[in-house]
Amino acid sequence: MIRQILHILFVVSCAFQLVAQSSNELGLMSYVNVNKKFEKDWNLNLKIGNRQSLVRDLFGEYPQRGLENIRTDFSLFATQSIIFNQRIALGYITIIGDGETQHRLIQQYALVSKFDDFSLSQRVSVNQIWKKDEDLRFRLRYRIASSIPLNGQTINPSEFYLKVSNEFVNSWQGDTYDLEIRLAPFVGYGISKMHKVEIGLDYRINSFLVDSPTNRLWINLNWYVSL
Amino acid sequence: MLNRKGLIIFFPLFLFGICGFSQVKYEMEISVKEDQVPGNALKVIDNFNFNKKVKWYKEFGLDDTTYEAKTKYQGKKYSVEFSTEGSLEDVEIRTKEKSIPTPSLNKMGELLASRFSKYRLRKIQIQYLGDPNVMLTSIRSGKLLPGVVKNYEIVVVGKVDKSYKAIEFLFSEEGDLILSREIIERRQDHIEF
Repeated sequence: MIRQILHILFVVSCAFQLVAQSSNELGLMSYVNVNKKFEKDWNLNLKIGNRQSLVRDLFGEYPQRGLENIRTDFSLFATQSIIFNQRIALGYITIIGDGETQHRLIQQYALVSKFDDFSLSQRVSVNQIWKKDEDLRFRLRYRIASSIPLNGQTINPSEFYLKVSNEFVNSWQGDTYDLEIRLAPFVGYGISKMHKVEIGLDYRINSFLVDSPTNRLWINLNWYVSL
Repeated sequence: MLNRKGLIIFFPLFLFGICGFSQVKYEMEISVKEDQVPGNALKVIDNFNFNKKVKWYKEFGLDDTTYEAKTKYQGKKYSVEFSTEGSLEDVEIRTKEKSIPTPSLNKMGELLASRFSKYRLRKIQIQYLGDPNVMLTSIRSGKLLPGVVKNYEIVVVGKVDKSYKAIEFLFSEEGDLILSREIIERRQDHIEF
């Protein structure tokens, strides 16, 4: 299993290096994700995240190195089960960065299926994004993610797991359409029943349909708190 | 102070609370290697002669600890459970709803309809109890031999009091309820958000 994790990480980093003619960025991303359960299958999800750039134009003639804060996200979601393993969510995200504030409204549907040796989540979301002096942007996203315990058939405290997700983000702004593809492998650890931490890579490529692609590779750290 | 009228109202409600899903199932399991499994359990599995790899787990429940061997045989998923001393406790074989005789299924359906406002059967297993050798012959022949008990263990997910729950039911072959336990599911926030 360790060999498979290293293989995935190697493939992602190789893919990143192969597109030297395009725009490339390496950075850090970290999120704290707090989920609180209420009665009658209501949940509240609060997420705070931060992104920092490490290197811009990584393979260019003049790469820009240095830790630079890009943005901070604050999001709040209310979710409700519609059937046992299916939930709908309404959310709001505010993103502060580059001296600007961006507002997003999210509508989301998630299906989480438990199989013998792994869990699978499929998520569809629709986003509306407002930013000053820019046209309204719409996004339609589909993400599939799998969580694989590395010991036994469920994730217990003090156990590791593997998480891999793949997401397709369609974006429309005015007459412009773009597609972003994301691939994110993680290694996670169940600290306790309530806490999980993950570290991994989040690779994103966009603007490849009509232009030079933009590649971004984030070293990602997540902390999940389930209350 | 409760008067007699209050007790008449209160006591049945109290009993209803107990007779609801009062038992809870929370299990933690870890993968173990063959050399960590009791010798008796290994011998029983050898006698079964499964032709696919057998995975071993040690399960820690609220009340007990067991060893479980999981494998696939003739296209079906098998789960063989042993005590910590290696005594065979039961054999469970995954099956589908259509394998349950209609009269038994109807009886189960009536009970489930009384417990849930809506539900579906998530997992169905045939459970065999009895002497290991007789059980092995019974399973291989497909005939229920004397001394072997056949039950149905069914995980049902459904709506109870405006929230969704997963409940494990154990029914007799005739469809009579033996016990039920609410399953405490692991949180999946890390793949939903």
